[in-house]
This record gives sequence, structure tokens and C-alpha cells, in this order.
Amino acid sequence: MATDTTMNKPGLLAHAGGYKAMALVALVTILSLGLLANDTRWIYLLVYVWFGVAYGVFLQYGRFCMASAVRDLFAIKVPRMAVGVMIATALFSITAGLVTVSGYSTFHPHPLGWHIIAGGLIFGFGMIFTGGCASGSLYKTGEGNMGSMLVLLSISFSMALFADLGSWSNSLAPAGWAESALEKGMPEELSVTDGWFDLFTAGYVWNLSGGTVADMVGTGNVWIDVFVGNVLLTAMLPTLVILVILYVSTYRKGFIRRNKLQSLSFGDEMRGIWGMITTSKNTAIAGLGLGIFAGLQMWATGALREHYEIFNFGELLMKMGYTEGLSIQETVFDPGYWYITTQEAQLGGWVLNLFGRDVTDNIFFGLQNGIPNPLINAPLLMSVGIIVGASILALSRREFKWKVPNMETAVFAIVGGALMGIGARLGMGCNVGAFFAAVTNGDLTGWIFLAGMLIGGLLGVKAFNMWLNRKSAGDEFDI
Amino acid sequence: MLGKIIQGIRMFLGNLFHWKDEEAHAHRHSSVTRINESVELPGHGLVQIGCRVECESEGCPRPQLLTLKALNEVDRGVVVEVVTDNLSVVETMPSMMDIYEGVHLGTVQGKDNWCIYVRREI
Repeated sequence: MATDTTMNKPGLLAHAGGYKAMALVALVTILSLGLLANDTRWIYLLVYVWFGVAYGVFLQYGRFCMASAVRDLFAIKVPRMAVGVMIATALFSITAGLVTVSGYSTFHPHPLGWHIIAGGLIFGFGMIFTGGCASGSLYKTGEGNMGSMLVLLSISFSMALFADLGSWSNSLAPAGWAESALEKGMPEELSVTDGWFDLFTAGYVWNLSGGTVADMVGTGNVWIDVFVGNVLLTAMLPTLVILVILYVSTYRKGFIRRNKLQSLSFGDEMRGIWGMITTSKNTAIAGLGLGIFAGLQMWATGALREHYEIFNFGELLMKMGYTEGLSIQETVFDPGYWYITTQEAQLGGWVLNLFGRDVTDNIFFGLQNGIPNPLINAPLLMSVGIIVGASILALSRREFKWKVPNMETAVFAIVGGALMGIGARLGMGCNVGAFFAAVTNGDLTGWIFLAGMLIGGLLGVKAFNMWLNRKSAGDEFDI
Repeated sequence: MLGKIIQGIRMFLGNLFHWKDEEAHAHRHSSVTRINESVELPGHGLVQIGCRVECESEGCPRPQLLTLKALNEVDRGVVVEVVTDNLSVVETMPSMMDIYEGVHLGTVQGKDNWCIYVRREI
């Protein structure tokens, strides 16, 4: 009988970590109050910050990481994290559905094309080496893991550089993309025919279309469209199928052995599936929390946009006198829901700009997202909030530890992070924006991204195992 | 905290430029060794440990793979102690024992690491 005997778990105030966690909460509260005293309209930005803190707490609690899910599944055939992620997906779809029905959804479906699977593949391959997906790297940074910090930096700069590829990359794009990009009639300062990523965006992605399954169902009754199309068909049913596959291919054999069963009745199978689900309890609880808060964030941001009569945070920043770093449409990246990577790309772009590289002459920064100062970049502060939230919980649970990467981990973090960054830009998001948020809002491209991520993850595990076997020669194995 | 950051940077640079930093060097390789020690585990009393898997500073899935390798090598009933500072390993190990032919006896949190105790069953 397995017994969890994790000992030495004192109360919150019985150790220094508890005080540090409380100090962090106090610091964020004081800074928030200071901002509100300056201008109450900062509430829009603070919604991002505090939801980020909540996401960080849940991510650390459930150790919610797609890299762990894929790697554990393929490397050691343990489905625990994959099961948790699937349950989280199903639960999040319900809250997302409620927000959509209420009319406050800020979600936009992604255009469907080969780039989704290619992006997922590159992202999945990279994340096996970094040991964390986009959200995983954020919460691990909050636990004091400096390797994950390196991953985040690598993702940030690789995305910024990929979005701002120079003229040398033009020849890598099909000729048709340039013609198509020109037809879009974009402002000259964007130079949309110069740079692979601009050609890819204007000449390829903009020609594609996307939509949600609710749109396809189209009965006219929003409840039926959303809950049948988005929740049941897009999230629940595929999740159920995946759970059954995971049970049969990994968990079932051990379940039969432990319970000394000769043949399994339907009831036994159900008990087995339930047993598999309950081993992922923490991740599932985290998923439920993430789902509820992600839905609440969409609702809160939607309500604030209505209150301030704006469509984008850039308009509010303009009214507050902050014009620097906005796109030529006077907008900034403002998804209004849980999203990671674009804001990190903005950070990379902002730093590159600071050092003299003009990154505003492309579509990604110049037209769509801008490069606002990190201190007023709401989604970026949401990412900071995730790190802070994870730190708060890790400190209070005595799980915070400064971990310095060795040379091997640092190289994997930088190279893997760069691949994740390229994959995220190509696939129009990461495991959160391109998979989690997409699938739960009825966008089938999320499953395509996941398929790519699984293929990439499988290849990554194969390559990683080859490296491990080579490295094993250096291990002492004295038994 | 500042001291820890400086120590961290020192260790990182030490690894980067191969400075002879004993602490950094000591953690560069994992080890699996036969031991004969005992430990008090809640719910199990005094337990005899037959093998130790040292894998601090190692990322997943290396500690899990080394543990499986160790469980394959030891005799039935032998308890293996896995020393790690990786929380993912701590979380994964009980589930891994559900799949493989072992039992998770417990996990003890130390100051800077965790000791996980698993026993070969078959």
C-alpha cells in the first residue's frame, strides 16, 4: 500500500518561507493600491496582474506542465499529468462556455493551416529539452529555478528575432506570399514584403479562415451552439476518448496487478479509470481553478472594456497619456484571457529596440501588438503575476529553492527555449494560447496544435533518451 | 537572498568555465549505490534501505529512469532511496510505482531535497 508520508510540513508562519510569502502578497497589494491611487483606470492592468497571481498559485499547486505530461507519457509511460491536463481541459471548457454565452468572451479562433501542426511540432520538440512548457517555465521560475528563467529569456528573444527576420529570409518564402502580401495594401512603414515572418503573416495566414464549432453548429440558440458545439463536441468527447486511450495503454495493466483481478467487469474498468483520475487529483483541482479563473478573467476584462467603452487596452493607455510603444493602430497586445508567449515576445522586442534595433517595421509588433514599456504591458505583468503567485505558494509550502542550472541544463534551456519560441510564433501560440484556450473555446486548431506537440514531444523524448544513454557512461552504477 | 543569488551565479559561471568548484562538481553526475542503512518511515516503522539513487540537480526524466534501472537490478523486497531536489520527481514517483512493479513507501522532505522510498515487489 503506497503511503504519502511527506513530513516536515509546518504551518504557514512556522517557517521563514511563510513570512516571505506573506511579504510578497503585501508587496503586490501595496503596489496595486498605489497604482489605483494614481489613476483608477489602472484597474484594467491590475486585473491581468491579479489573475496572473491566481494562475501562478494553481499552476504551482497542480504542477501543471504540458512538458511533464508529454515527457512522462512517452519516457516512463506515466499518464498522471496528461490525465490532469485533459480533465482541466474538460472543466475549463464549461466555464469558457458560460462566458461565451454571457457575451463577454474575448476569444478569437485561429486560422487553420499547416503552420499550426508545424508550430506544435517545433514547440513540442523544444519543450522536452527545457523540461517545461510556457506555463510550466513560468511557475518553475517562481520556485526559484534559474534554468526555467533562462528558458523564458530564450523564448522571449527567439520570438522577437523570428518576428523581425531580415531581408535575407525573403528567399525562403514562396513567391506567391509576396504577391498576396502586397495585395493587402498595408502601410509602407511595415514593409510587409520584407522578412519571412511578415510574408508568412500577410501572404499566407491572412488568407486562411478559422472558426469555432459553435459557429458550425449554428442552430441560432447560443446555449445549444456553445454547449453542444464548443463544450461537448470540441472539448468533452475528445477528452473522454483520450482518457480511455491513456487508461488502456498505460494504467490498466498495473490496476489489474494491484487488485489481483483475473477478468475485468465494466464496474472494475470504471473503478480503474476513476483510480487513474484520482492519482491526478492535484492537477485536476488546479485545472478546475484555472478554468474558473480563466473564465472570470474573460468576463472581468469584457466588463471593463464595456465600462471604459474601449476595444483594446491601447485606447485606454492613449487616454491616460501613454502613447509610446503602441502599434500603428494605437493598440497593444490585449487578449483578455489566459495567454502566454506574445507578451514575452514583446519584452524581447522592447529590449532589442532599447539597444537600437528597430522592430516596429513588421506586422507582429508594428501593426498588431506594439512594444509597450514592460511596466505598463498588462499581459506581461500577468506573466510576472504567475511567477509571483507560484513563488507565494512555493515559499509557503517550503518548496522554493534557488536552483542553478549546470552547463548541460543551461544549453538545453537556451536551445530548447529558442525552438519553443519559433514554434509558438509559427503555431500562433503555445500550449496555453494555441491549445488550452483554443480547445476550450471550441476552436479545433487546438487539437491540431496538440497533435503536432505530441509528435514533436515523441521525437524529443527519443533524442533526449539517446543523449541520456550517452551520458549514462559518466554515472556511477555500483549495485 | 542576495548571498544565495551570488552563490548561484558563481556556481553557474563555475560550470560554464569549468572552474574547480567542488560543490558544483559533486553534483555533475548521478550515482546508484548499494547501501545498508535504515530509516524510520511513518506507517512502516524502521525500514532497511538497500540501494540509494542520488540524482540532485537532475531534470526529468533522468531520476525516474535511474530509479527504474535500480529497481530492475535489486532483489525483490529491497527498498530503494531516491534523493532528489526535483519536485516533479517527487510527484511522479508514486504514480510510476502504480504502473511498474513497485510500491511507494513514502517521501521525506529534507532541508534542500526529498528522499523517496520505493520497494521492489516482483
